[in-house]
Amino acid sequence: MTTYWPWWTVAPALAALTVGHWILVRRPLGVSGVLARFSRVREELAFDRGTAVMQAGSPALEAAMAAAAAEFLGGPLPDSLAAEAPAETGSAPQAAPAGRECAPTPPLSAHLTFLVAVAAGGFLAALSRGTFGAGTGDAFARLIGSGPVALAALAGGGALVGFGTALCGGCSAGHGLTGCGRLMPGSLLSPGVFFAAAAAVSLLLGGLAS
Amino acid sequence: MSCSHMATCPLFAKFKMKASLRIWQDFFCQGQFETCARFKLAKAGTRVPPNLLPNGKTLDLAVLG
Repeated sequence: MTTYWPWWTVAPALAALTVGHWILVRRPLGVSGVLARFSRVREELAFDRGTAVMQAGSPALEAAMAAAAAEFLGGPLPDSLAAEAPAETGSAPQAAPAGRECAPTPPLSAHLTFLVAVAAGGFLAALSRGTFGAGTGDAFARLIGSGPVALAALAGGGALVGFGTALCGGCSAGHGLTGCGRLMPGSLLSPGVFFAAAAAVSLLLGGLAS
Repeated sequence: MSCSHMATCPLFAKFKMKASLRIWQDFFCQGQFETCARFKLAKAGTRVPPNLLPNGKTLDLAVLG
């Protein structure tokens, strides 16, 4: 029987992680969304390159944006703007407090670092419990079996998890931790369905195995 | 009323840098921000392309990069 850390140590840690991630990164914490980025890596790399070009700025970029502005106005820019006087820096109204607004998507390299850290964290947790290398665990072996059957079940289960999280826009981390914390209606519903389905399937498999 | 996304929108910083780009800021960021293509996408939970302008046009980054 696998032993886990007591809930009263894990729950505050998860809460601190979720809130701290939002405060530091200004992005909701999620795992499946990060993984999904790597399933369309070419598109994501192109997005990162585009972001870098826009952030770096260049005379060509500014000229293109000014040309688009002129096109938008339907004619040449007013003299006051076309003269290229320095833009005012102190009188522009300030943005409203960001509140719940998210920061832009970080580059793929940042999310790769995140995934490596998730794997490293799992590895360290297994080491701390002395369970690293113990396979899938007693409960899994009792319910599913071992060998090729177990591998097929893991592959099929993984595919279903990927399909389901893509379909509902998040997993137990994104919906369960961040979404519930932000009182998002979809996220309040999703974890209930996740865990109800998990409990039902576990009971069904347990009944079949006994 | 100005756009609540100004603090996080990467284009807003660009608009402040040059006088010739202030038209975007004046018209959209501090004006009709509800009509901004970037605002509408972000509000819908869709990721905003980096080269999308407020009026819905996209800049050709292959030329600029």
